[in-house]
Amino acid sequence: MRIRAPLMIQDPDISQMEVGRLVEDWLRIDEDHYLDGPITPRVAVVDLNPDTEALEPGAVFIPPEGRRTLGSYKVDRKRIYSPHFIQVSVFATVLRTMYMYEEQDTLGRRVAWGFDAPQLLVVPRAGWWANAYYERRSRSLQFFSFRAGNKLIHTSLSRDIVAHETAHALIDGIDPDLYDALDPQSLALHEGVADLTAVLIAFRSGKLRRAVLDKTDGSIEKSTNFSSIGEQFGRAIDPSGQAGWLRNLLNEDKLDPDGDPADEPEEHELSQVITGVLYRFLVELHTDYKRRLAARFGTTTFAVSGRALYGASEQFKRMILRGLDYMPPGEITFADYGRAILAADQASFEDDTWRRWLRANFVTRGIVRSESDLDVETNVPNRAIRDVDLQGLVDSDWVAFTFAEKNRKLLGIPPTAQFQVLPRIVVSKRFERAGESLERAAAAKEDTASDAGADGGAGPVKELLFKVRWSQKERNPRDLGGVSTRRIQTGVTLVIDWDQRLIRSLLGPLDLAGRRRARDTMLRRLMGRGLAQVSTPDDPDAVQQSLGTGIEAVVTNGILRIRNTGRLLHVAKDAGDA
Amino acid sequence: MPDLVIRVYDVRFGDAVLVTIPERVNGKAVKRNILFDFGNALSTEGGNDEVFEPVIDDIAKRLGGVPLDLFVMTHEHLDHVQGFLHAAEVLHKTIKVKQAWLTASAARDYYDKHPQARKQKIAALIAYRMTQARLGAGAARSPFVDVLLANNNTASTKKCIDYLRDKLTDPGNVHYVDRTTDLSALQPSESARLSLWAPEEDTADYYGRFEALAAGLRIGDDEIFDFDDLDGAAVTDVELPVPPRGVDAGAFYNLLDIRHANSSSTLLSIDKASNNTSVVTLLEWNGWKLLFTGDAERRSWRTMDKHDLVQPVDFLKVSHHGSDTGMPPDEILGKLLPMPRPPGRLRKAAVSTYPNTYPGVPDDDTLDGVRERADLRSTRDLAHGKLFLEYRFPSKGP
Repeated sequence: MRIRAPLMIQDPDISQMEVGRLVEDWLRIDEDHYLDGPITPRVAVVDLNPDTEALEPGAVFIPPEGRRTLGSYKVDRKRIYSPHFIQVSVFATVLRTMYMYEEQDTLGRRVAWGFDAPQLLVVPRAGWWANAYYERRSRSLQFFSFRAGNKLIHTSLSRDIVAHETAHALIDGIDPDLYDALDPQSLALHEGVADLTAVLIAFRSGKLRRAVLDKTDGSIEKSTNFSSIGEQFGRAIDPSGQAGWLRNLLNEDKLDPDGDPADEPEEHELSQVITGVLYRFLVELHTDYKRRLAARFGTTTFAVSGRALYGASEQFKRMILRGLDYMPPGEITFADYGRAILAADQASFEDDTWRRWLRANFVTRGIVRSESDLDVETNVPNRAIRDVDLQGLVDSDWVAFTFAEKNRKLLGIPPTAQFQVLPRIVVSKRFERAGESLERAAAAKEDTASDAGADGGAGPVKELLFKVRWSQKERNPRDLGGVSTRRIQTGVTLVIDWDQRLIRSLLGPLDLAGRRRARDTMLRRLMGRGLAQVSTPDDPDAVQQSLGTGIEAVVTNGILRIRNTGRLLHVAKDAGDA
Repeated sequence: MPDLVIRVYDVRFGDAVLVTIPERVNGKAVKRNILFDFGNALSTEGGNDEVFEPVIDDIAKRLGGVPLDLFVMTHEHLDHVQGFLHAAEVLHKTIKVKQAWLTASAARDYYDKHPQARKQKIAALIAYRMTQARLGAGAARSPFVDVLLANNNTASTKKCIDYLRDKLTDPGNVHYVDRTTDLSALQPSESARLSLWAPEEDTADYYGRFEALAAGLRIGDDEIFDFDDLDGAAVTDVELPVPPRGVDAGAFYNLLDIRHANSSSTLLSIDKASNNTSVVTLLEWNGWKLLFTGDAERRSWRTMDKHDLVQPVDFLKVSHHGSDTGMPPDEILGKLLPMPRPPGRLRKAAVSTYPNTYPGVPDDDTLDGVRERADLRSTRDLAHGKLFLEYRFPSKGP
């Protein structure tokens, strides 16, 4: 059943954009059923009163009546600070972000959460604090409120922040290993993709897009409106910018490909490298769309800048989010993510113009030494794939295990490694014909083109995602936990074209061993700050010793294992020292 | 003329630092004695109270019947204030003290005079109550949390501070000091000069953006609580809500449990704020510069630097038991202990600490950083049976 729900697009109190208050109705929410809250099978708003922690009554669901086909929630759109408006707006923004990931033009599948439960809990007024976060162990998004001068700011009314935190939850569902990784680039990737998700959600509002482009001569390069994530929010809580809230995606940050990985910055600063290169990619795409659409319509680039941004951001979304499904499990670097983006695109599209741009710029930014590091093979025939019972692979853990065991060499599984085959995922993606993106952008309305209409089109491609994970031992500095060995996760992702019986992509990590010193640095930081304390399973205070940060460092049989490092993303932040 | 001697006592996780300054008064050799803090944490091995007796005995022996010239209580944390009350009530041992300097915010009328600090302090107290109630409801918790709860428990600390205010010496000789206090009439020695780098008169800034994490209180302009409102146990009675229809009860209560566990982060914020009210004292004697830092953390170091107070010193009492957050940021540390080290000149540092008492303390990297700049010794390096680290500074000067 579909419902109509208002969501806050732009709250003037938490934005520098001078476009006034924007509340949009969104008509595409389509869940199985609805309860007061809003509560649905996959997302439940749990509004705990920030003063008493009592459960506030949720917004009342109104089912469609008579000739109406859309349900709704009882809410006064003009009272944006009322609990019911906040509840419905945050709910709609969370779902809008989820749908962007799940639509056929992106992943083409429903994303399961990174925790063992079907429902994400959303706490829209979690308390008085300048923060917001996704937290796996409580299966929740928590949005806090705070005062900045005379203003009361609810982070749950910030579209940027809600989309960003929802993205963390979605990414955790797609690749749970990132949340447990020790490589700072893995965490930086979590953060970077969440930032870019917030940008993409902003671009999906036709009104907001037009309003901003009108003020910037149709450019997303000149304006910091789109490229600064949570800028006003960030300034409110931390004028110095040192606490990591202020991140400008329009940057020239680089890595030193020949430098010591141990010297890389921390995850928030590091994330700017990947968002910097990808946002620049979007700027270039937008410029290209404007040029081509202006030529087509015989008008100025400014006149077509809105629909060009719509078309460019849809293509951008497809590339960067589809890459997530192609990444191997375990410790990940920016280079691994880049290879996954390129593989996902190369498997579907012949035109390599933009892939060449990405390859060159990943080198310029120092993410890889040479473009050849990013070479990937796609759509490769293989006997193992030709003969296998694909439905059996999906349905039976035993069939899947046997397939992996039999094809260790193909999959790169070490001969003695005990591996785990992750639940197989079947996706149905929209397959786009050459030039179709431009056609869709041209057909879109300049002012209002939104996420409607992204589905459908050409026939879908059916893919099987087959992921295998295993752990690997590596040397651990003895001063970090008192043991000389630690265990890290790694793996491989095989993507099979179901109908053509081809290997669309097969990716493992590019240089797992070469990143060991970066992992040492991360571990040293976690322990040095008391964010992770080593415990053993026999220790009654195991896990508790990390002072509630939830980051686990456990020694079993003389081997150290770290988990829940994703808690560093906002939860464990200490702005008080800034 | 004898050396100036600093003795850093091993009180486990706490501080007790005795400085003995030799000087001549009317041609007669005398010693002036200053004690910075005396206490240790509650709970865990780091808070073992048995350490106090040999320390008070040693101090009394060194005083030889004359009063301590000055006691400095750097800040209101149990691990800095507990010793004298314990000695008096449990060991029935006292020493005479000429005067005491207590951090300014320990004055009974302090919060009447500083409304902004009052607002922050009340918020912290309420948050502490909420946090204590929530953590108390948990089945298991970290021993670190117990230490933080005990260290910041104003009820138990109050007894210790009341003793220092009222009974350690004549209350007329107790002075509540901050960076701006005029010390000219309070100097305990004629040959040494003491000056204060911290704390600020108004401590509100040390609370920074402290706000109670989901603590169930609003810190609004019009809704300031009063200290009197803190009496009673209302805030401890948190009634568990019932899960809404459509939400799994297990998931809902799991969410509430974890929110309560997160309250321990609030404790750390409260702890930092109090640490930053530490009295930071520079003692200058015959060209030597000796710095006693209490538990000052980074926010306080930045404020000291903002006032251009930070300068090279010859002795550093490492702040906050060797924590990462107690160490000045690199640019300030470079002013305090500049490199390269001046050839032929003493440069000493001492840390009083105990492991597994407080999260991330001592921090090995932090101490390594000090070691690169000064000859650092830790109370943990003391041989069995040794009571203190000793540092000597010759009267001829550097």
